[in-house]
Amino acid sequence: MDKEINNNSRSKFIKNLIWGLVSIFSLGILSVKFTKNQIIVRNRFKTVSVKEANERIRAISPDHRNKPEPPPKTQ
Amino acid sequence: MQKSKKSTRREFFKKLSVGVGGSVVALSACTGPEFDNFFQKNFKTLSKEEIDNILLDLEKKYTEQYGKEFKVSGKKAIDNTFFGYALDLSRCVGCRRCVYGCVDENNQSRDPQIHWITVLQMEKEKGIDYMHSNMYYNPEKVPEEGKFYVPIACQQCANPPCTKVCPAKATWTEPDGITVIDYNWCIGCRYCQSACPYGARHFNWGEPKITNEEINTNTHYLGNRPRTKGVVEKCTFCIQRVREGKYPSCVEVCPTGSRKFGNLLDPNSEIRYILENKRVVVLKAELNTQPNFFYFFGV
Repeated sequence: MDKEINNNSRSKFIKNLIWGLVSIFSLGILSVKFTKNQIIVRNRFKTVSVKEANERIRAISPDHRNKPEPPPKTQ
Repeated sequence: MQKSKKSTRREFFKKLSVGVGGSVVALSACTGPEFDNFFQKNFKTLSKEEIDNILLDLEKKYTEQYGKEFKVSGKKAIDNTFFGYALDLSRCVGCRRCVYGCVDENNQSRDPQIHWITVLQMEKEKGIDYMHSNMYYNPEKVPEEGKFYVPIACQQCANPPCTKVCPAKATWTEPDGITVIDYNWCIGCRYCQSACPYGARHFNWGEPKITNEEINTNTHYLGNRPRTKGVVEKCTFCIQRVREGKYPSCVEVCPTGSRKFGNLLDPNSEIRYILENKRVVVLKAELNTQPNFFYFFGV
């Protein structure tokens, strides 16, 4: 009986682990990229949300002033 | 009745001989290089020997056309290299030096104008808002009060929609992450242009015009070699420079140092430092194009 319980809890744990991993990757929280001999793991939480980016943009005040090059001609 | 049948057969042979004769004349009018050019295989399927011959022919052709010694490289991706780009939004002042540096380096048409980089002016109040952005701003001095600037070029996506839609397989992503176009194979259908969510691909509606003085003679087959009317072109991270270990021209020309470029696989590179220590934003992340072009805030 104990053995059965242990087996059940183990299989439950593995099932939960798989579901956890599937949801982390499918929600895009983590993404893995395979390149030559290396794996790059990208964490979504390290990227900025558009809302936060906009807040940072409002705080920008570059001290450099320049004459711009001409705009493109309309085609 | 029988007579009319005979004449029909005779007419058929007459027409056949005219057709064959016409085809022979048309084919004989094609010179060797033009014939080879038309039936050239896709760049990816060419052998090294075939590539060398094509590059020599192109160098000869461009040298005759522009009266300058041309170099057309076919250099392959460097091993263990995957390029990434980062742009510091807090430093960019929208001066468009990058736009014209790119035009000079990559032999973009001066008339009609083609710019691989577009600098969008946006309002700080609205934040990143493509709909209300302005690419034709022209004040005395930049940056203007209450505005910020977002330069956009090809984002060199890891999951590019543009390469998937090409019916001729004329565009693909190289092992170093650069999406390239074989101009000889581009049929000008502009599917890729429609598929690109960043507006990074540009079509040559007319024959590109560049003067002999303006032409850059250091070229790459998949990059800045002279294009023709009816093909699509786009940023290649200056493939002719980066595969020789140089920075792209926009990085070199930027007066504020807001552009960073490097090898993502090199743990000591500047680009890796930015990705590991700064919080970055990619444009239109919701489309899952996975750009290798990141925007960040250095200050």
